[in-house]
This record gives sequence, C-alpha cells and structure tokens, in this order.
Amino acid sequence: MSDQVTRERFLPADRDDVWRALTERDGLESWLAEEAEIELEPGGELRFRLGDGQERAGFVEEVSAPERLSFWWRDPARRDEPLTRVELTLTDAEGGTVVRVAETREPATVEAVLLPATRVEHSTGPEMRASAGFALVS
Amino acid sequence: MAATRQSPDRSGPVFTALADATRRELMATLAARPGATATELAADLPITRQAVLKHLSSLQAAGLVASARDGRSVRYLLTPAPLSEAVAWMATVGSQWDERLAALGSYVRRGG
Repeated sequence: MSDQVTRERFLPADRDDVWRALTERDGLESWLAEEAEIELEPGGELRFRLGDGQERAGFVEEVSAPERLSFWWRDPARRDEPLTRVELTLTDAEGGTVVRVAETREPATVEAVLLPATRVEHSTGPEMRASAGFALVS
Repeated sequence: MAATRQSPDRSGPVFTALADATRRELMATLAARPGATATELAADLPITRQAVLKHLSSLQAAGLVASARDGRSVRYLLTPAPLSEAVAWMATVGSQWDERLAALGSYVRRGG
C-alpha cells in the first residue's frame, strides 16, 4: 500500500512560462529550493537544498515538455527512508495553467527497490544513468 | 497497482492538528517529555504558555493528546492511537507542497 499527497493550483500564466519555472535553475530556486541542481533528462541527477535547511537528492524519471516532469528524491541524511516520487503535471486552462503535483511514498519493500529501476528502464536515458538510479535506491 | 492511501479529509481535526508546524513541534516535545505540564512544554518551545494551551486544546480535540490532573497541575500525554505515521507524513508533505505552489504562483505572476 502506498501513500500519496496531491495538490492542484491554477496559475494565471502560460504553460511554457510555468514549465520554465519547473525546470530552470532560476525558477526552481524561486519556489522549490534555495539551491537547485538538476540534469533534465531521464536518469539525470538532482540535488536541492530546501529553505528549511533540508536536502533532497535523487534522479529524474520523465521530462515531457511542457506537460510532465517526474523525479524521485529523498533526504540523503535519512537513508532508512525510501525515495518518494514526485510528479508535476501542467494542463492548459482558460486564462492560464493548472499545475498538479502528486508525491507518492512506496512501502520500503522490494517494490521500492525495483520500481525506480523499472521506470528508468522504460525511459530513453542512457544505460549508465539507469545504473546510477538503481544504485541510489539500494 | 497496489492500493493507495489518499490524503484524508482536509477539514478533519487530525489533519488540521497536524498541518501546523508549531503543533507538530509541540507533539515532538511531548513525545520526549510524557507527563509534562504546559509550563514545562512552553519552556522548550518558542511560544508562550498560553499558545501551548491553545495548541494542546486542538490536539486533545483531535484525540492526539490526553491530560490528567496531578494535584494543582495538569499533565499531558501523547496518545497517538488515532494518529498513523502515514497521516503525519501526508500532512507534512501536503503543507510543504501548499507553500511551494504558493511561491510558484507568486514567481510566475511576477513575470518570472
């Protein structure tokens, strides 16, 4: 059984502008993190330092501009906890864009180890990146 | 796909109790100091005794804290029976995303 949190918000802005805010460093450092590094491709690494001092490290799952960005992350200081999956989806709406986020926590079982590897396998990322993604989970 | 627990009713007392960072800190303090009085709790937190009592009242209403009279004092105890760790996780992560999306809204509205 997995746990999931979802939120939706309407933004009076073009989807391309919102996509940039989700994927470029300047954007990310305005709303998500104090410092943000992200390799924007399947299997790419990400590292954030959040406003409250916590960190997040993980890897990118899917980049489908300007509609969907998904990644897996966790606080590197808490290796006993599994990575959680974050999916950000943008939809055109009248006068702007709806952004939807879903953060999902899989149980810390075999699925938590296999699932990220399976997702990375299905991406078009290079194999080396897929290995890096798998190693992060173990 | 395996069953998924969704965020519980956002107007519920447990969710409301947990969605506040100060109340979560109070619960952590109380977990470390079972049987503490409101005065003792206030000494460990950056809020007044009055604020502690207000928060304890919310937590009691949600069934997360119990109290017992000890002479002229009242002592408090965490009673996490209705609290599951999953609910706490959902409340914490939900609050984080509420803040982030609000900041994202401000950023794109500024023309970022």
